[in-house]
Parts: sequence; structure tokens; C-alpha cells
Amino acid sequence: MSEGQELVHVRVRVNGQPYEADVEPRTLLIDMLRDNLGITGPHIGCDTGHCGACTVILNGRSVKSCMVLAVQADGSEILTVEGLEKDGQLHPLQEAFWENHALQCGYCTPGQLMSAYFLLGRNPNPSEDEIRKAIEGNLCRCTGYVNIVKAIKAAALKMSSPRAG
Amino acid sequence: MRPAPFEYYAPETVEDALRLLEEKEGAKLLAGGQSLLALMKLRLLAPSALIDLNRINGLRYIREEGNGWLSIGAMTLYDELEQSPVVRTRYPALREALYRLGDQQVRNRGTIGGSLAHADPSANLPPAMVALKAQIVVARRNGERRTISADDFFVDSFTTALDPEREMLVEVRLPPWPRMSGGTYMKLSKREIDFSIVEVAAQISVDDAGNVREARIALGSVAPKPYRATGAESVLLGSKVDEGLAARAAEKGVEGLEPPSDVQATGWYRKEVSKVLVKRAILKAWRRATGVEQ
Amino acid sequence: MSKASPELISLYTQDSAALTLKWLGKPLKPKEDHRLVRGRGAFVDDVQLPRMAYAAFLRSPYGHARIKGMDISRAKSMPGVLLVWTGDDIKKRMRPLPQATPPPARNAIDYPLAVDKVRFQGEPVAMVVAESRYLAEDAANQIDVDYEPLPAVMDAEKALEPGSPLVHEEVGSNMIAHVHYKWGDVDYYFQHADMVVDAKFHYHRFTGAPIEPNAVVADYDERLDVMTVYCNNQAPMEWLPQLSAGLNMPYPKLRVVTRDIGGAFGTKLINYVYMVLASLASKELRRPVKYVETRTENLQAAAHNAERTCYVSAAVQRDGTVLAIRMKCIDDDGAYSRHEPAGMTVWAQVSTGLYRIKALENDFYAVFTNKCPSTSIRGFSRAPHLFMIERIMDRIARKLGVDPAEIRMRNLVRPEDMPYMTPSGGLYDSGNWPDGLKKALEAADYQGWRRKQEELRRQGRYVGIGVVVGSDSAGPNMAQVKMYNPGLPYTSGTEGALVQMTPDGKVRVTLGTSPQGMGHETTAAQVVADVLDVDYDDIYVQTGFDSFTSIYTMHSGTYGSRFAPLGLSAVYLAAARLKAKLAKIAAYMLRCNELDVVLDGGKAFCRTDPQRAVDFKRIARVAYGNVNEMPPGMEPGLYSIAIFRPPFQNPDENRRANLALTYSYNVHVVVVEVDPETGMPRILNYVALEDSGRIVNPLVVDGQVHGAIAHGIAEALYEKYNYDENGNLLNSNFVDYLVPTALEIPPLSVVHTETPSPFTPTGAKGMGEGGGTAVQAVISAIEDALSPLGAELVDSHADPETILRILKGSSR
Repeated sequence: MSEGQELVHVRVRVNGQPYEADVEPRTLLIDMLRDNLGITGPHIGCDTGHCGACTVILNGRSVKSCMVLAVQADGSEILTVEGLEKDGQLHPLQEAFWENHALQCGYCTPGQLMSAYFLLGRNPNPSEDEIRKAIEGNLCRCTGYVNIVKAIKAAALKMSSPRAG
Repeated sequence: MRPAPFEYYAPETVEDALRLLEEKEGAKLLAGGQSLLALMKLRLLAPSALIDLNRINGLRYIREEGNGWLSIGAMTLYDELEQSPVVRTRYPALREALYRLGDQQVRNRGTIGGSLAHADPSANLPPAMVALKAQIVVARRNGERRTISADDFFVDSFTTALDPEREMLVEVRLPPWPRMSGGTYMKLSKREIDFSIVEVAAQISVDDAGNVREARIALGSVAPKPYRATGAESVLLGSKVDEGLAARAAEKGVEGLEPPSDVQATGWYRKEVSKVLVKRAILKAWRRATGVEQ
Repeated sequence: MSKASPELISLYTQDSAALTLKWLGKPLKPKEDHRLVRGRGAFVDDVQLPRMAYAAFLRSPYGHARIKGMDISRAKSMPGVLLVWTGDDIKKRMRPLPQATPPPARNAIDYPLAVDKVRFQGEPVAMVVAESRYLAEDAANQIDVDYEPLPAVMDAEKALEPGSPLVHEEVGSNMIAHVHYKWGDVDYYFQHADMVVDAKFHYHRFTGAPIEPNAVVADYDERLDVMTVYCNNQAPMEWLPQLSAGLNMPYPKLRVVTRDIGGAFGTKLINYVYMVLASLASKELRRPVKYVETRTENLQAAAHNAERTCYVSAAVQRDGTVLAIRMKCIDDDGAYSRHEPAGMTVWAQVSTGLYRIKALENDFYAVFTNKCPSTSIRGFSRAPHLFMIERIMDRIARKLGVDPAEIRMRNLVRPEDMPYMTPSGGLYDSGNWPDGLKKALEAADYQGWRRKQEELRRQGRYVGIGVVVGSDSAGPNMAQVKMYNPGLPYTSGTEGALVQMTPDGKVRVTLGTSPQGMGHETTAAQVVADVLDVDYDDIYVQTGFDSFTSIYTMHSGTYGSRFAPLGLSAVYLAAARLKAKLAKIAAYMLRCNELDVVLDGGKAFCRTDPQRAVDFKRIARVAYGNVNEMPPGMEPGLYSIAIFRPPFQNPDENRRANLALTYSYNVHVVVVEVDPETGMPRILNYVALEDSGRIVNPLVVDGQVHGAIAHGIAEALYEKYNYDENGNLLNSNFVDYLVPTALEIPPLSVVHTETPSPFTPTGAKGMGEGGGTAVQAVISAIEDALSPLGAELVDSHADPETILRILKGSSR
């Protein structure tokens, strides 16, 4: 890390893989992910930290990666939407979003999924109100949130039920 | 959309942070960044240096002291506080202020110290701190500490009693309130995630006879700093609260208020709604204090 | 007016014989969703090209000002800065953007960067291209502009008064265009009506605010002399003339590509200015140039809807029958007519709303002001018009003491009159609107809520119910522009598609549209699957539009709810033609009579001898490789191109024409409560009935209904632009421009009826915009909640303060 240098060297683990980049202190985490590391799942949708399209999991917590400096994430574990699937298998949240058409243009979707992921990690059986509260930081202009709420409920049910076979 | 260039420092001790703050002209302390980075991205602020406090150990804790006080480290996250059983049980007004603050992602990053030091007139926490009689512990170089009451801490819009070049907030302390006390935080805004158009934090304790022994009512978004509705408080003292008394207290409490107009609401609307919120907050705090409601 | 003539109906009626109905109507998992849930969308900002440079803009802080001078020297000398252009640099490189307006508005000078004057806050004044996004922004901030502020024109009605400051001096006034419409014997009806109901209504200013802002990557390849423009424009071909003229490159050398688009809602039509600028820069630098708008730029300067003020008069009979309507409307189109003044004609698609109104007059003005240019935000021009009609219906109901649902029931076009011709020549294709209203009221338990309302009112609560009908007039006839400029050579509404069976027996489809989440890949595949009876999973639809591979016309794109009526019709035709060719080849290969060939489950067999079958893969191998086995004289390959052309006409001498191909139907029943102490509204119940003809994919249709309702609720309760008198936009970021979250949009209940359109081969109707019904419904409900106080709401936006003032009996 740096003491007032021009560029800082940032090391992160994203979706289980190690990455590093030289960035300015002012480089936003979202820009490092997208431009330096080529991880384009998280999106930029605003400039005031409201839309949540850039949401990732940083050291276990959902955060807006546009409101974190890349240098602040040095040494961190990051999970993005690309890290939800395992060996070609979609995460139950992704399956549920697909089955319930909880997306249309798909631009806010990566952020919605990560917020939902965080929610279900701490509250495996959320009520509708709790779901809506959990995604209040993820704006969607296409779906009216109807199917997003439905999908998160469905995923919660699937993830908390005992596996068959 | 992207901030202007700055130098970046990530000290590992409070002492180093304060040294850098003194040495680097134009430097600002970076806590959660949810307010500061927003301003910097819009280039409304362009500090020449940022001193990141996130690498300092020992500033994130929620500790029940032997004397009943609750000590909270300045870098404790909103979410940690909101989820804390002791906060939920003992200080529902604080918990409600946190629950209605921003969104989950903001609560996962923002800190209590950052919020109080930023002193946004529309922020949720300052009125809650004033209502709860919080004490704010401030650090200077060489281990020096001083304590400022919440009443004195907030001086003006985005201005606190902190010396911005020589001091930093390190702890917030909440006093124990008697068993028969209750509080609440209420907010009126168009969207749930918005800064309030009007907000009220109320904390009431009652004596064995059920009369109000102490009442602290603080409003936000109506003045440059939290507004103590002392007029309302004095109406309540010594009485049992009902709808009529609460309404009268609210009327008295906002008498002197001249809230600002902005793109979200006019001063007229803020004043009208202040009365309503103060009344409702008094009733709820009362019901919690008397055990009628959880 | 009346039922359309049999000749006209016959002209419009389409054949749907090729449908098997095995795949249509099924909730198949949308194809696009798979890559999007994995974060593998291909949006413009995901485009990464070697040596790519980044653009940023300096924008005007003033709503109206003269540019006295500019100093770009500091910016130009910064390391990493490749190019700094001002309006003067652009002026050297291109002619002004052509105007669609007749003179004198045609004289308005419009460049992508301001020249001499800035006319709205946020107008781009200089463009910087640099090695990184960060450097480009830094450099833009180092440009000094000497402005001389001018008085701003902020009120469209005042803008027409003599002595008003002028937005475009070269036009001589602030009038963009004025058209006086008159259909039917309006004067007679007003003279003989039992009563006349008057009102003035205002439709406010807002935007679509898709989460993805405008973006473009222009890549000039100097080896092949091709300009590739990755963009998120909804109708890139519509702007090809501007691009071609600006670059001085012929169409075959311009490759315009859209892939995934993160929503648009009408805001991504006039972003062609950035396509032109980025392309010019790319050609200059011989490097790819990327521009991604910030949210603030998007809200300030991308696209607003036009505010509309209408003075409305209704000639009404005692029994509630509305005979005729007179209107005077003024559209506030902002500083440049880049897509406007189409709004002054598009409303005529639904001129008399959903009612049997016999005559209509509308004195319509489109006006320049110092605000962001307006364009076709979701519900373009029809939503404000239907707002006016539905609001006057509510007024009539109140005046006559009739239930608002009942007043509509009495006036709705009846099923026996369908297809129905309106006084303006509109041809409503199908629908049982009274029955739909009845079903919607049942689904919403309207009677139950009215009883509940009475009870709650007794308790001192303010609960209201809004019942509103709407239609999404879809698949526009661009001849509508001739209504304000008869000289414009732009008519009809067409769309193209390619359906190809590839040599491996799979099916490849390309579309002329540029979808932004409407599931075109899905529904197109379903139509093809249905026609060919091939597995949905074996059909591959190209993502988005590519002018090098898509079949397009100058109408191509995704706007005006046109995909279902026009795009899917082209897909159907292309698939049907391919089906016929497959049948012919199969007949030859099976030595079977062509009429006995059946295509089923990916193979063809002979009806007289089902054991003799040949699968499509084999047919494809013959058609592409083993050509000597083809029928003699038949062209090889399995390509099928179709361009769907509705029997649209130009407006006649009285400006009568059918301006849309299909007309969906919806009914919204909304229950709202307002807090009597704070004025805060809360939606208690929301039920919508939707009939968009034959449903291709119910998931897609419901999604669109949800989205349209969410936009309507947002517009009525949360989203409203506020300009001050100097042209400052007071809410230009997501702090103050309030886009609802999941906590503001309530659960939505949608019920369906399906009345296929006879005018599309699939029977599907366009429906995504919804007609803006939600705005009407919410406002209607709030007015109903406040009706004990005699409240009359005239705006399409209701904020808590307005409501509280009504409750307290004080007005602003």
C-alpha cells in the first residue's frame, strides 16, 4: 500500500481468483473491477450511490463498489455476480430469477442478485416486507420489483428445503 | 462522476491519523465514505488528501460498561449497531434511526463516527444522539481525550465542535436510561431511502406513578443542527401522556421553528409535518416507556 | 365514429395459417435472461477495444446564455488529453442536424455541441477525449467558458407571447409548429349538448431514467474504411442520415450495432448526437472512442417527456354520453426539436380515447423552451392525451353524480363496432372493452372497496378509488409526421426479419429491432418455433441490431410498442416463407404431394405415408451442400427475409389517418389512502386488466405490465422535474430525482383477457408502454380520496404538500 504515491498496488481475490492492478488512490472499486480486471458483471448506473447496480460482496458484506475506493479493498475477498455459479451450475438465486423472469434489461440484475445473496445469508426465510427492505438500495426500472420479490422468495424456499436425492 | 486526484494515507493508529491530519493541509478523514465519496464524486468536494481510518484497529466495538453506559467505537458500522441485540433492546430510538438510514449497502459501510462528524442537518443519527443524551469522545494528539455532549457537539450545518485539523471522533457513549423509559425515531420522506423531510427522535422516562420524569425530543431536517423541542418537553413533564397532551406538546415544541424550503419540501410543509411527527413520536415513546408497547 | 368498412377491414386483416399454436402462449424461460443473470450481458460499456480512448463533456451551467469565449488551452495541454473540441470545431466538420419541422422552425440551428449559445442547462459545450475516463473528466473541468446569461424561457404558454425571449432567434418565435385539428361536426355537438364540462389539465415533466445511461463506442477502422458504432440507441437506422452526413461516409460503410441495452423507455432515441460526436472523434484520432454518460448528465440532458397543458371542453348529454371534445394543447418541447414535434401528432392515434366520441377538435402548439429536449418517453404523447380524456371523464362523472366506472361503461367503444374507426381515421382493431372493464372491476372487488371506502370515510380516513381505462396504440405509422410537415418523406411503419435454417438444421433469426429488455429473442423464437414446429432451444436469435446483418428499414427499432405488431409479424412472414420452402424441398425428397407434407417436431413427413420422413437437418444439408438433390430450378439455401408492411396510408387533406396498427386495452383499478395529517399517499390495492391480443409469452407480457405500472406510479407520486425561472434544473441526480424502490411500488395484481388482433398474423398487439394508464389511475384515486373536500386535481403529479393543502383547505 501507499503513503501518498501516485499509483497504488491493489491485490484482491475476486470470485476465488487472485487479481492485482496498479490504480490511482481515487480509482473507484467498480472501475478497477470493470476496466482493470475485466469483470463486467457489476454495472454503473448512477453517480450518487443510489442505484445499486454496482453491488458486490466485499469481505462478506454487500456494498456499492462505486462508493468504495479500490485501494480500500486491498487484501479483500470480493464476490460478484460472476462468482455465483459453480462449475456451470447456476446459483438457486440465478435459477429463480430466470424462472420467475425477475429481470428484463438485466442491467440492475447483478446488483439485485448480490443484495439478495446477502439477505439470504443472514435471513434464510425473509418475509415479503423484509425482501423489499433488503433491496431498497437496488433500483429497477423494468420490472416494478414484482418478479424480483417473487424470485427471491422462491430461491429462499429452495435454499432452505432439504435436498432431494 | 469520478473524484479529483488526492493523496491517500491509511494509518494504523489514531495517533498517526491525527498526525497526518495536522500535517496534510486540506486533508479529510475517510470513514465509511458513503457521504464523503458521494460529494467527491460529484466534485463538490476535492480534498487534497484522504486519511483512511479503516485500517486502525480498536475502533469498532459495542461494549456494555459496568456502570450501564454503552460504549460504541467510532468506526462501528451502522449495520453492526442496527443488528446489535443490546441496541435493539435498550435504545430502540437509535435502532430505528439506523434501520431507516440509507439502504443495506450503505449500512454495511457507513460508520457512526463518520455520520456524527459529518453533521448533515438531515442525517438520522444526530437527533437520535441528542434525544438519548449521548456523549461523544474526541481524541487529540498524544492520547488526549475530551468528551462533548451531543447537545454541544452539533454546532451548525456540517459543522461540529471538533477541531477539523486536530481532533477526531473515537467513541460514542450512551447513558443508561431507567427501566421505565422508551424511545422512538420517526421519519417522513417521500421514499424510504431518502433523507428525511422531517425526522424526530424522542426518549421519555416515567416515574412509578406513570408521570413523565424526563423527555428529550430532537428534530432533524428542520434546522442547521438537531432541534431540541424543549417547548414540547416541558409540556410533558409531570404528566401522563394522551393524544391531547401530545398534540399540545407538539404544537408548543415547534413554535419557534422556521424550517428551510428546498426541492423536496417547503418550510410550511416541514413545519406542519413536524407537529404531526412530534405528536406521534411522543405517543409511541410514552407507550414504550409505560410498557404498553414493545 | 363507427365500425370500419369491410373493405378496410379486409385490407388490414392478416392471415395466421402458419401458426400451430404449440409454442405461443407458453411461459418459456426467456433466452436473454440466462446470460443476464450470470452477469454476462453485453452492454456498451462492456466493450473493450485496444487503444480505446474516453470522452467527457463540459456542459452549460446556464439554461440560456451566449458563449462569449472559451479557453481550452489548459485542458488541451494536460497529459493524456488527445482532443478538445468546441462547437466551432464541430461546425467545421458537419452541417447542422436536419430539422423535421416546417419553416420557420426549420431554421433552428442544432449542433451536437453548442455553437454561440447554450439553450438548456446541461447542453454539451465542449468534448474532451483522453486516455482514461478520469483524465477526460479532469480536463473537461479545466475548460473556461465566458457566458453571458440570458433570460430563460421556462413557461411554454408565456413563450408564445409577444416580447418573450427567443430560444432560437433564427426562428423568429418560440413556436415549433402549430396544427389545428378538426374531425367531425364539433360545433354542432357543442351547440346541441345538454352540458359542457371544462377543465385545464397539466401533464408534468419527467423522464425514463433507465439504469443504463446513454453510451457509445465508435471505432473507425482505417484499413477497411468502416465506422463501427456500438450504441444503445433504440432506432439507430432512423439516425443513419445524420451519422452518414456528419461523417461523410455512405451507409454501406457504417456499421451500427446494438446488443444488450439496459432499458430505454424512450430516452435512447436522441442520443444519436453522441454517436455522431464519438464517430467524428474516432475518425480524427484513428482510435476507438468511448463515451458513457453519467447519471447527472442523463437526467439533465438526455431526454425529457414534453410537458403538456390542455384546455379541455367536453360536450356531454345528460345521460353521460360524451359527444365531442374540444382541446387546446401546448407541448413544451425543450430547446431542440430533435424528435419532436412528433408529439403533436402521435396523440391522434387515440384521438377520442377509448370512447365513441363523435367529434374532436384540437388546437395544438409545440413550443421551444430552455429545457432539455423532449422525446418519446414511455407512453409518448398518447399517455398525456389519455390523461386529459380520462380526467375529463372523471369530471363528467362527478358533475353528473355518476360512478366513474359507469360513465366509462356508457361511452366505451362496443365490441360489435370493432374494428372501429375514430373521427380521426384511427382503426381500433379488436377488443371487448366493456366486458374487460366489468372483469377488471370484479377482479378488483370494486363494489367491495366502495363499501369499505364508505366505512373508512366514517372513521375519518381518506380512501379513494380510481378506475381508468387505457390503450397502448402500437406500431406507429410514421406518416403521422406529415400532419405537421407534409413535405417530410417518411411514412409507414415497417420491420424486417431474417429467418435462416443453418446447414446444421438449427434456426438463426436476425431482427431489425434494438430491444432493451422486452424479450425479443424469446418471443421471436417462440413465433418461429410455432410456425416451423421446431424446438425453441434450437432457435438462435441474434442479440440486438447490426446494420451489417440485420434486415432493416428506416423505421427499424424498438419504440412505440412496435415489436409485437411489426417485428413479430415480419418474423412470422419470414418463418412462414421458410416453412413453405422446407415443405417444397421435403415434398421433392419424399416424392410426396406438397399439399400432403406435414412439418412436425423438426421433421417433415408425408401425410399419406408417415413412415416416410426427413428431418430438417437433412433438408438443410441438401439445400446448402447437396444441391443437386434439390427440386430442379429451386434456389439453394434456406434464407427467408421478410419485411412486414401494414396497409398504412398518408393522412388525407383533413389529416385523417390510421396511425397505429394495434390497440391494446387495459383497465386499472387503484385504491389509495392519504394520511390526513401529512398528506402522504399510500396505495392499498392495485389491480390491472391487460388485453394485448394473443399472448406470445405471458412472462414477458406481465413483466411489461408491471414495468409500465411502476413507471406510472413513479410519475404520479415520485418523479417530477423542477426547473427554476432561470433554467436551473433543481433535481438532476438520483438524490433529488426520485426513482421508486421496492418499498414504494406495492404488490401488483394483473389479470388478462386475450382478444387477438386481426391485423397481425400472430394476433399479438404491442403493449409495453401501456398507455400511461397508471398515472391516470393514481391521480384519479387521490382525487376520489379527497372528493369529500371537493378537491379537483389538475396535475399528473400529486405530492404530499399539495394533498395536505387540500386537506387543510388552503391553496398554494
